Amino acid sequence: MRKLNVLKACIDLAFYLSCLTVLAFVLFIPFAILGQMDGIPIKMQGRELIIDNWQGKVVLVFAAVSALFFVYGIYLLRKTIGFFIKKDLFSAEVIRNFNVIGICVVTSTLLMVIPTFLYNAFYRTKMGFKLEVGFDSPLLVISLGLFFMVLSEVFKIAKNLKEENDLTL
Amino acid sequence: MPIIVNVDVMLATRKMRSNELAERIGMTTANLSILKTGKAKAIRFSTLEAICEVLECQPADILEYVKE
Repeated sequence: MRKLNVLKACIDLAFYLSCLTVLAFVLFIPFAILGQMDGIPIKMQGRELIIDNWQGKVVLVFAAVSALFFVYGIYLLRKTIGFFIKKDLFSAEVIRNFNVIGICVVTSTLLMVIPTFLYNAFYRTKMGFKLEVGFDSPLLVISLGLFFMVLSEVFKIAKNLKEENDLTL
Repeated sequence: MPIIVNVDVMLATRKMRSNELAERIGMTTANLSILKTGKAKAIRFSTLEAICEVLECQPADILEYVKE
């Protein structure tokens, strides 16, 4: 279970760094909404945004909400790994957490991708598809979210099998 | 569950206590209690064999099917 401890350390670090990012968002968004950062290109969640109109600000708010969903997902993942360390593998909370993590990851990606795509298409007249390999690809991140939801279902089946095994005398 | 476990009836007719049966078949009293209360999902043939051997009975004396 050494790998589990390494995973916990990585997720902890990612969570604390994400919290710092969210804090930065909270401090930065009022300035952006008030128009003090107009025209400055900002890179959020791997997408570049240039905020020079109110639509851009709406996209920015969506990006901030998306980041909050993502951080909550990381928080739940951290909590779930805590259960694994305590050898509590098939509890109802682990199953629920996996499902919520999946929902958070998918929601976060959609909240980031759809507004950015629409904004770029209608207001920046910049449309196209970018071929990406790695975790910058929204399709892959959505797949990861769906994988967590499937994992939740798999754990639900495993929980039932474990209960059945425990009650076999 | 339509399968009724009659271990307690057999124990009463044999005038044997639950913990004595549990000890002789190598099962914990907690697990025997699960079996007696009908909470068990399945029973191994080896467990059934041990119970039948100690109580000198047939599997049908222990398990009964009652239509719900």
